[in-house]
Amino acid sequence: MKPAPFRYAAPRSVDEALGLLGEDAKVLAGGQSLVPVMNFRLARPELLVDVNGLGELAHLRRTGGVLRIGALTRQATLERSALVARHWPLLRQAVRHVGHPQIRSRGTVGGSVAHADPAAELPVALSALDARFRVRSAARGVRTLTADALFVTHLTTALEPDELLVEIAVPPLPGGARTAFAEHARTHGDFALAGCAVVVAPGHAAVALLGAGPVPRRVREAERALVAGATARQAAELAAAHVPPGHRRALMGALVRSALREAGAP
Amino acid sequence: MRLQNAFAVDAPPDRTWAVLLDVPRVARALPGATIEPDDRDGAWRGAMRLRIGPVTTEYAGTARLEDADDDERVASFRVQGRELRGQGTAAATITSRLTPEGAGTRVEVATELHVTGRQAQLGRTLMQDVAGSLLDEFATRLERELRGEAPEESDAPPPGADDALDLGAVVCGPLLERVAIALAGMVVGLLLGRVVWRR
Repeated sequence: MKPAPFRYAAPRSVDEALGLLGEDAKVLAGGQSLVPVMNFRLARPELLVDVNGLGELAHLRRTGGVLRIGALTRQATLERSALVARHWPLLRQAVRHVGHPQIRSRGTVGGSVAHADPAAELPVALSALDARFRVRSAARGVRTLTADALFVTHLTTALEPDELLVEIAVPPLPGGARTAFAEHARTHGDFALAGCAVVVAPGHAAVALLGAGPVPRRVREAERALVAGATARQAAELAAAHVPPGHRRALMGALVRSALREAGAP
Repeated sequence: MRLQNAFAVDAPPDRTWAVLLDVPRVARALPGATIEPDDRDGAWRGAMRLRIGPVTTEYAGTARLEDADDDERVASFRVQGRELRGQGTAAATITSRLTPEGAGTRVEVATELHVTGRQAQLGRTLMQDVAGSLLDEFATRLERELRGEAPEESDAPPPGADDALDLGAVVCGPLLERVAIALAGMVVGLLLGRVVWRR
């Protein structure tokens, strides 16, 4: 199918892009979710603001220990980066589960976040890493959100229609941290039924779930239990309690358990 | 194919780092390279001309800064190109690491290179030589760039000059050596054959 008619703009700067954004406009980044949704006529934006020309949003840089990911950074760039592999291995572990290589070579990190698909891997990994999301608008300037504040519900973020996600800042992992990402999908590249991102370090733990509700869910009680010395099995039970009983709960429990073991939990 | 090179620049690491992240400035220091003034989503379009003895190859493609680590001064670039006349392609991930060396900077360059087409037949040894001489020339130009001098060649090209780096001189040595070894082998083979034949 073909999309409903729309206007198209390709701004040359972030300021110009912000001037175009508004109620009936959508941001076009990699287009791996927006274009299919438009082709099915589920979305009918009046104006598409193509941000692909904005090189200022395509950076991947570590400064003062913090990783700054420009919103336009391609998923494939994240996957290839030796810098990411060395200091934030969870991002590489997670991004490999995103679609297929062709999708990752166009799809952007910011696009995955702003689209907020409940089955998306990167929001879950970024949530486990305590990332901060920088958004900008022409009217109100810059504000910074946590994952909990940003992800509202299915395909919905706290981004206002005139706001653009510009950068994601990821703090350094605690010393001695190990990470893992696990998910289950019916076929490779399909949307996952359940998944999790975990960080385990001396005195620190993070467990974020995919498929336990409409947004990435941090399981604080499992994290506290791990820090207090709980085993992978015990923490996995606490995490799986957030999923309705039955097949999906069993699946989540198994995924969290194996991810925690991979990350070195007892 | 993995290539390792290193060179020293007579400028402090901070200044070298700033220049290194500036793709157009780096490209200007690359012998035989030209670059368009605008980038699109961080990718700079350009061309590079290489002359290896009698073979001239021109690639057109893009260069982009993939990631940069300000804390350890490590930067990765991705360069992808396609032969203008021919079927060949070249793709490289170039990782540069800066460390202080006296008052200057040591630049270690690791290149992961994938070449297809007829250029690939040149083989690894030759490529290493070519890359080595390219980087030597690059280091000289980068130093000049860091000292704030414009590269002489592009400012006032002598009439009829070709900006492509002539690698003939570098390559002739190893190439001749190999040809000589092959010839010697043939001669020895023929002689032995004759001896055996006579018996």
